[in-house]
Formats: sequence, C-alpha cells, structure tokens
Amino acid sequence: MHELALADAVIDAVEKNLGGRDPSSVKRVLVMLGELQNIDLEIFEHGLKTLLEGKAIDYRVFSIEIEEAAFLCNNCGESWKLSEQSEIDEEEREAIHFLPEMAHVYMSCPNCGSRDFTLESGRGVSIAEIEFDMIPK
Amino acid sequence: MDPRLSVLEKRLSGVRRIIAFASAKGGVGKSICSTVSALLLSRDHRVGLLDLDLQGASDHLILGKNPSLPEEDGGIIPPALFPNLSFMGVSLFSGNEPVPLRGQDTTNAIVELLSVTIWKKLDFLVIDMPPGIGEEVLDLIRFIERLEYIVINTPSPLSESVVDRLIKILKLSDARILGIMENMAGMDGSERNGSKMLAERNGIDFIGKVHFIPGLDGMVGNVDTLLESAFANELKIITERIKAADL
Ligand SMILES: Nc1ncnc2c1ncn2[C@@H]1O[C@H](COP(=O)(O)OP(=O)(O)OP(=O)(O)O)[C@@H](O)[C@H]1O
Ligand SMILES: [Mg+2]
Ligand SMILES: [Zn+2]
Repeated sequence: MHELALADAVIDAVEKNLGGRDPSSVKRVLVMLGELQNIDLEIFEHGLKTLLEGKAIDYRVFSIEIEEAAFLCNNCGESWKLSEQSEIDEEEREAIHFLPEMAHVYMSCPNCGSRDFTLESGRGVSIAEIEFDMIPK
Repeated sequence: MDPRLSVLEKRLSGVRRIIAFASAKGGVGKSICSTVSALLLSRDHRVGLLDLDLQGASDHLILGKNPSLPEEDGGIIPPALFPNLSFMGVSLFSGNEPVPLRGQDTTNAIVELLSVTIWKKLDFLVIDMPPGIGEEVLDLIRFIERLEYIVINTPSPLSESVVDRLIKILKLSDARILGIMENMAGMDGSERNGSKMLAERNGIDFIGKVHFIPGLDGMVGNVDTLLESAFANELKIITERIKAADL
C-alpha cells in the first residue's frame, strides 16, 4: 500500500515544522486528501497510527478532510468536477492513484475532449494547518 | 504545505550515488547512454534507472519491456526488469500513451515519483533527463543536491552552444558535474574535438567519447545485442570512469 509512504511524509513534515516546540504540543493537524488520488482513508489513517507508535505526537490530533477535485480546460474554458468526468476503467484509476498527473492521460475535457486542462484542486496529500498548544516550552 | 518534500532525501538515503545524464540539447543520446550505462553498471552493482523524461519516456523501449503498473508495498516498488536493475518512470503508468503536462504538473509528477518510490539499497541511481532546462533540471537541482551530472554533447556547433548553456546553469547552482562525454563522435566524418574544448573552457573533465555506431537503432529493444555492440564497448570506458570517480 503506498498510502503508507504518504502517511510517512505527513508525519515527517509535521516533525520538521515544529519550530523548536515539543512534539507533544501539536494540538491539531489538518490533512487534505485530494479526491483525484483516491487514497484509501482507512489505510492512510491506519498508517498514521502505526507510524506514530512510540512517538510523542498523538494520532488523534490528525483531522483528515477530502478535497473535491475540480478541473479547468485550458482549451475551451470549461470547468468540471470529478463526479462529472466520464467513467474510466480500474487500471486507469489505479494509475491516477499512483500518479495523479496521469489524469492528463486518461481523462479529458467533457466539453471539447482536450487533455490540456488544469487541476484546480483536489490533487493529492497536503497539510492545510498545524496547531499547537499555547503552553510555554 | 506539501508533505512530500520532507521525505525526498529519506527516500534516496539508501542510494550511494545518483548520476544524471543530461544535455539540454535533444536527440543527443541521453536515453540510450543512460539506459545502457545502467545495464553495464548492473553487471556488478545494484542499480536503479529513473526515466525522468515524462513526455518522451523511452527507456522502456530501449530495454524492450512492456510497462505495467508496479506493485505497492509501503510505497511504490520499482520493478526489477533485469537482475540488479530496477526501473521507475512514468511509462509504468502511461504505457505509450501521450502524457501532456504543463509546468506545475511536471513538478508534481517528479515530486510524487521521488516521494513514493521505495528504492532498495542501490549503488547507483541513473537518471535519464529530458532535453531542455525546464522543470526536470531545475527541480533536480533544487531537490537532490548530491546529484552528479554527466553532460552529453555531440560533435555539432549547435549542440555545443546549447550544452554550454546547461553547464552555465549547473555551475551557477554549484551542481557536481562528473564530466562531459561526447556521443555520436565522428558522425560528420571528422574527428572534431569540440567536446574536449567545451570541457576545458568550462574547467570540467572530459570523460570520453562514443562513436556514431551505424545500425544502433536496430538494436533498440534487444538488450543482449545492445550489450554486445561497439556502442556498449565504448560506453563501458565511461561507466568505468564513473565508478572510479567515487569519492
Ligand atoms: N552513438 C550512437 N550511434 C548511433 N546512433 C545513436 C548513437 N547515440 C544515439 N543514437 C540514436 O540517436 C537517437 C536519439 O537517441 P536518444 O533517444 O537516446 O537521444 P535523447 O538525447 O534521449 O533524445 P531526447 O532529447 O528526445 O530525449 C536514437 O535513435 C538513438 O538510437
Ligand atoms: Mg531521451
Ligand atoms: Zn475543453
């Protein structure tokens, strides 16, 4: 499962952005999962939990939200959502799961058919916010 | 915040040396030189080959392999296409379909590939670069400081000028240039020494040349024939120098 590599990246990023604070002072981390990458939430959460074992950051500080994928065609200006995208097969979905940029290989603008579009939101994993307890160090 | 950036070094921590074949000039032999070098190095070392030419992925064709989706195990596992040679590239996901990417997509794809690929312990990771001085070159400069560049030039004044510009960018960013190699030597019927002079002018090593080998294209896709060719024989001198340059 490559969700584990992404969960590992999230933890690593939090640890590198403590700014000198104690890891136990992390109160909330808001993680956004882009709809396009279709990350398995359960496996991702389980990955966080497993990787955080024995660390001072509690896995319960992680809030995870799914970010809707939105596209804008560079050719005709059409905008659309993933739900409005025509069906793609299992293997193509899997390729996009591995590498979201493969959307440009397997998806196209519903209006003009172009593969030249911009993914405006909902690509993959990002950290939207890290909050700390205000207790003095 | 992009969490992937924080693990790039960690993902490459089991790799002893990272060598990129770059040129800025198109069609000079980056793909065939990097791929055959990776094969040559894999005779006595553990080697990874990363095809970073997202739009013109070719290494799978040189290796004669039909790409298929890789396995997942805590990350993405680069398939071992040959003993001691594992491979990663966009072709595993896109096959021979066109991959139309704009700037930010290219960077995103590179970061994704680098952050989720789980390389085994490697002696060498060989990277095939696309032409140009775009995202791939700039992102590697940004993300992999210890990368060592082999700059490929051909005996052509046009190549020399474009390659010279890449060298400027690499030097400006304090990148490590292992040396300049000349490919397709003698293709214009003369033995110019433009590559040597280019190296001298820039104060970098000239690490050898490979002649234009008629019929090389016919060997693409057949690894055994490629490895027995005069091309591989000449390239071997360069891969030996790469090994010897180990610090
Ligand atoms: N030494 C050589 N002798 C004969 N043919 C060669 C030699 N080197 C490369 N070629 C041929 O030149 C062509 C270009 O090679 P290759 O695709 O490796 O170049 P490239 O620099 O990777 O191109 P691109 O810039 O498109 O990525 C191929 O057809 C290849 O077989
Ligand atoms: Mg190439
Ligand atoms: Zn359109």
